[in-house]
Amino acid sequence: MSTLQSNFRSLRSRIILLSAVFAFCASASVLWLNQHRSKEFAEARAYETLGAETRRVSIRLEENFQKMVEDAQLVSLTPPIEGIIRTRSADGVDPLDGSSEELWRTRLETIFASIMRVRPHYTQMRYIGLEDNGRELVRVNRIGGVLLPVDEADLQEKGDEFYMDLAATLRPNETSFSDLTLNRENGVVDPTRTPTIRTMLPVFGANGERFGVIVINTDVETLMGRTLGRIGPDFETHIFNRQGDTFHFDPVRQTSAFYLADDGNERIAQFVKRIQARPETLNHEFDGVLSVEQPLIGFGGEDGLELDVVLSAPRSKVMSVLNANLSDSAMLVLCILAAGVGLMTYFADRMTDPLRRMAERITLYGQWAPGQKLELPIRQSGEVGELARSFTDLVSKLEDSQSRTSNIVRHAVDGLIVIDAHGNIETFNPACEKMFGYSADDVVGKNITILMSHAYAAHHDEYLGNYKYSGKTTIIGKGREVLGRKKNGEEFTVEISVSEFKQGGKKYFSGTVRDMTEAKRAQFELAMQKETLEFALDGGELGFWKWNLQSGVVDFCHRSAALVGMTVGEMAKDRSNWNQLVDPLHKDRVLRALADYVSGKADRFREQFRMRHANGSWVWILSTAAISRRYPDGKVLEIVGIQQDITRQKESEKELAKQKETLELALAGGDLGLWDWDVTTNTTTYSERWAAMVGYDRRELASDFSTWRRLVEPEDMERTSVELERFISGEVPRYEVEFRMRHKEGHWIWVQSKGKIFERDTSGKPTRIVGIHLDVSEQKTQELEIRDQNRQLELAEAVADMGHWSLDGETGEIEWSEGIFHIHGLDPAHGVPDLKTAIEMYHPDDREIVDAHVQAALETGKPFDFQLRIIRTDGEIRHVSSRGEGVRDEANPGKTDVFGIFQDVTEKVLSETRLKEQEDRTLALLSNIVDGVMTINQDGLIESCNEASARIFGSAVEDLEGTNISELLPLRFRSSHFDRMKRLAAGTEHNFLDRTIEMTALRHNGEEFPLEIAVSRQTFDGEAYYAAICRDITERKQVETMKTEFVSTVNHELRTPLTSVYGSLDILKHLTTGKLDAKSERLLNLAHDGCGRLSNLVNDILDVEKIAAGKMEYRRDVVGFRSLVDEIVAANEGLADRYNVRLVARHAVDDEHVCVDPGRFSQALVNLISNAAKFSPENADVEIDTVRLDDGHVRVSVRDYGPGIPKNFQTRIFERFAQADGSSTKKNTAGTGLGLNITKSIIEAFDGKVSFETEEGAGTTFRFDLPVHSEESNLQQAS
Amino acid sequence: MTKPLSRILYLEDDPHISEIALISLSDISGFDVLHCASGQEAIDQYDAFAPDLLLFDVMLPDMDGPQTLEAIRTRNGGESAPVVFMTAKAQTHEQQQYMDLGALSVIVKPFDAMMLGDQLNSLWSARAQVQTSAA
Repeated sequence: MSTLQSNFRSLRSRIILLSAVFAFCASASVLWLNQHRSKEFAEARAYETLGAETRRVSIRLEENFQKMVEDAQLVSLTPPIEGIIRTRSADGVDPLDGSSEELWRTRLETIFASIMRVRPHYTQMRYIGLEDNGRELVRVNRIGGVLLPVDEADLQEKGDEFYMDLAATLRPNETSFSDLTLNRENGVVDPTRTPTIRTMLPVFGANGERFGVIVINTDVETLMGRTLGRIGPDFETHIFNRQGDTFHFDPVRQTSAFYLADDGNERIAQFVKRIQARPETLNHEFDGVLSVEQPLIGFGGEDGLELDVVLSAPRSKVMSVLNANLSDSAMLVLCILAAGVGLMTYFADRMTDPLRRMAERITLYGQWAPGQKLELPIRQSGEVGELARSFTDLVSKLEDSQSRTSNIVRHAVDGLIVIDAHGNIETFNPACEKMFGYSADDVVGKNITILMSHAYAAHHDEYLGNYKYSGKTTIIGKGREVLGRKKNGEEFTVEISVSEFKQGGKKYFSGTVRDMTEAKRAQFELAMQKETLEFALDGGELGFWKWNLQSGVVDFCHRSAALVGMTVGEMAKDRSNWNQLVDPLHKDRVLRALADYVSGKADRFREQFRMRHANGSWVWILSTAAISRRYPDGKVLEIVGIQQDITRQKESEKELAKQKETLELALAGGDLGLWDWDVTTNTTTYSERWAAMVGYDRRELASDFSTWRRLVEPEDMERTSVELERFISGEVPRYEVEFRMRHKEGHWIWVQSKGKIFERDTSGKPTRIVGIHLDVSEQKTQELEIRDQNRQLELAEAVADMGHWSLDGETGEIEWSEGIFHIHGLDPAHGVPDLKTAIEMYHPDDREIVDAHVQAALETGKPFDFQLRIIRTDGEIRHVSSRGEGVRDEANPGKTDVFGIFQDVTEKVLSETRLKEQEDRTLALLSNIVDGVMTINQDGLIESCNEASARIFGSAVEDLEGTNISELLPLRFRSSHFDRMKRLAAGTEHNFLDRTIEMTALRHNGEEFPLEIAVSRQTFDGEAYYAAICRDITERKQVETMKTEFVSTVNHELRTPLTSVYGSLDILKHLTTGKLDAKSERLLNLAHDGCGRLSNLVNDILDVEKIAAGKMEYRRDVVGFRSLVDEIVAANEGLADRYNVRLVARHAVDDEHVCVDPGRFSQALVNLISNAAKFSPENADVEIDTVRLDDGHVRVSVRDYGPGIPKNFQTRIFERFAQADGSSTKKNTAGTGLGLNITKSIIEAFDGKVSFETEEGAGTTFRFDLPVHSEESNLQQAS
Repeated sequence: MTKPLSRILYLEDDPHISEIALISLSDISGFDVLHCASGQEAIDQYDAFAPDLLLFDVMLPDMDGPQTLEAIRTRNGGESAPVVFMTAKAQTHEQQQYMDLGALSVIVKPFDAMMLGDQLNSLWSARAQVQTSAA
């Protein structure tokens, strides 16, 4: 039940229920809304459907009526109609063809009959004349399904019929329908009661006179029945006229009937009336029936025929679709609902699954299997994870607390036992195990009585029982001693305190158990100690007393009494004895000290005082005391004390003090402080002066070593201590150290301390050391200052390569600082050399000057400053600057010393010399140089220039310096010059510095001339300036122009005759082919080939000249390497044919591009190919390979299998006019000897490289390596 | 399809070279060639001869090839007269100068007498091709 309930209330069920309810509500509302809309829609549809059907029926009817009109018109056009008219007017004989009226009538009858045959609803067709009261002229009847023409005699007069009136008003070709009536024959209603409509068409004579009318009678019932039967409307149909005569079609039975308004069916009449009652609308609804009305108007004019077509259907029928729709929707909703609930069940399961699993794990964990860990999905996100984490957290906290508790229990010193209300043991901690000898497993679950002595155990259950019912406690909340029983049966005293607690509705008792065996033993031992103490006191002749402050009773032991020569019996049990015996001078002090101690003001009591001995002498007593007992509130209850006779000690102390006083008086005179160190007791006494030296009163200083330790400068402590140690250990005979001590006022004083051993013990170890302190601060400070100065000087000298020296004017003694030794290259350890040696180290040329200066200084004190050279022992010469002066000795006015400084300036001297030399050289170079050299500052001003510059610009050096460089340019170039200066300053000019540039310059006299200039930027002292080297290239330009012109002219002049010779030979050779003898032909060929070579030579010379002059012009096009090579190879197939070799091109490059002049490159490659072809044996291959190299180059190599290049020629192969000796082969290989030279120049112009590899007899490979053109290099090119 | 090259106005002052060229062009290649020894003659004959192509030497006394071309170009009907220069000036920058005047090509002397006609024919058809594709 509870499970069911909990299931119902579970999160999962709620989710499912909630979503199911929600889904149901949603679906129901959608369903309702849908149904509501569908109803409106269905109604509209119903009317639409009815309307459409109604229109269909109407159209069909109209069509049929239209056919009647057409039939009438058709008849009117037939010949007999006019024939009869003609015949009538011509007295029975047709004037046209002579036909009789009889004949025309027969013809018309035939026509009528044939029309009626196809129109079963036509009952009569007539041709009625207006004469003779509307006498029928021709008539055909349908009687019983048979068509019968009516004899002339039976024809009737119809002038009285209502439709004849109507027909008389019709205009030519106007058709009309009569209203619907029952058919009448001879003025009487036809007994067949045929509802009839008549179609009428007037007939006019030739002169337009109204002659007659054609009338077609139609049986409406048949017409409608046929029409509707064919259409088969699904709805009940009413077709009625104005009077209410109605044609009715029943869609169920598929029958139709005609009812006249007055004799008809009541229901139908009622229906028609209701429709007619609402002319304003075409849609009708009443009695649960929907109807749509469609009037057919305009057949017969105002009085003519007017029909209404009405189709009806019960609402239930047209709405049935709606109901089906409702049930479908409901079914769909149910399905969705079911699926939704299923889905929700699934998702709810999934959602609640982690929770359920968590709950399972927690339940499992709660059963406390050992070693089990609680594993919850704590890593999961969302609420589940959060729950898991917080739960895990809680559990771990609980576990912590539990493990803490259990640790306490486990490690408690006291035993801890928990029993339940029945006395069964639940917990038994390790302390208990130790105490009782049982393990926890042994006793848990057993009754507590097994731990009790038999006697006690017998009553225990009783106690428990009592407590349970009466609540009367025996031991709860109290501690008491009971007898416990160990596992081995031994009984022992335990102290136990029991408390009660409740857990989980159950009552438990916990007992803390303490083994009292030890405590018992301690009591025993205390007693033992007491005795021992007594014994000890005896041995030490120490008196013991005990004073109870409450009672005032003082107990003295026998030794205490003995101290003053009394017995215990003689001593009063209070302080009266003491009061009497103590020296009144000491009494107050001692009592005060005791009071201070008792009240806690002093932390010990230790006093010396005198007491009167029974024999009348004074004894010195040292008394110490300690508080032995207190009241619980801390007040002192009892004091115990020890007394000792120190009389002897006291006397010797006095003696010592006297001696000391004497000594101190003695020392005070010498400003000496005294210290006295008793090594054994480690007490040190200090004299007044000792204390005063460091700014203290003696009483402020503790009489032990710590005072000294405290005051000595920590830095000096170690040194001093070591010295003291060494002295004490006998390592050094004297103790004499200097150290600093902190003066009370904070400054340091320097102290000289000396010590002497006064007393030694039997082993010879010193037991007392006495020493003196002397304040040596003043001397010490001076001494240190001097040392510091010296050290600084040394340092300074070392840094500056300096040294100082002094010469004692009297003794001639020389002193050198360390620096002097260094300068001389000597070791200071060897000491100062004598004067002679020193002088010998000076350069022979300098000795005199040294001597002169030193002498002058000695005699007059004159300062000196000169340079000298020292020759070191290893021969190295050092340049030394020597400065100094003589100084009169103040203490000895007759004496002058010389002090001097040496400074090693060798490096300076050397570099100065070098600089000087360099400068001289540079100056000489600059002034003698042919090129102009100028330095120009950032502003464009010429700062300096040489003679050559002045000469070039036709000016003087002085004039040029300070001039703006722009003034050396023609006016038209100045603005671009200023732009360039700006770019240079901004660092954006890249095409100017560090390259040779030709420009037009302006001479002083206004003449313009070509100038070659190379400018570089220099920085001097942080300031940038430009150095320009310029050269007047006027002459060179002229020569160049002349040369170019010369080459061009020579070429032209050579070519003109060459053209005629070559051309003539060409044509001659062609024309005479086969006509000359072999020898002549050979001669002709020789001449022709020679011309060819001459022509090539002219071309090559031109190229070589241009290359040599640097005038070769190259285009730089970026072209595909592979296609370029291919094109060149293809264009030179002719070469291969001529030399009968094969060109084989192979590619290992893709679409690498190179930047070359295609024409020139082609020239170079063709050179190689043509060389290879020339030197190849017949039918050999010339291999042209391309490959991309790793270093960003592409290579094309041309290999032949010719004779190779002779070794001695290999080095000259690229030289001009180089051709290997005897290199001609069977082919005429003579070339100009310029090809490879040009080739190399061309390839190098494109930053390429030409190389070759050859093996005599095996062939040669020539290679071009060209850099691959990349976008970056393109950019560089552009910039 | 343009009409094949047939009428060439050839301007050359050197009698030897012109003789060879005439043999090459008329006898060997079968062109209808009119040879003029001076620029003025060429200008005078231009209208009457109505050449398809001008083949001009560059260096001439009085009026050089380019000047002659300039004169012809300024006349009616001569604006687009195709021209090929022949020169002994073989330097690149010189040749470029003539190409810049609108020459179809520059033939460097000494020329291959046997190939001269073929060379002109191929220049002619290359030009026709360019014109066709431009049209």
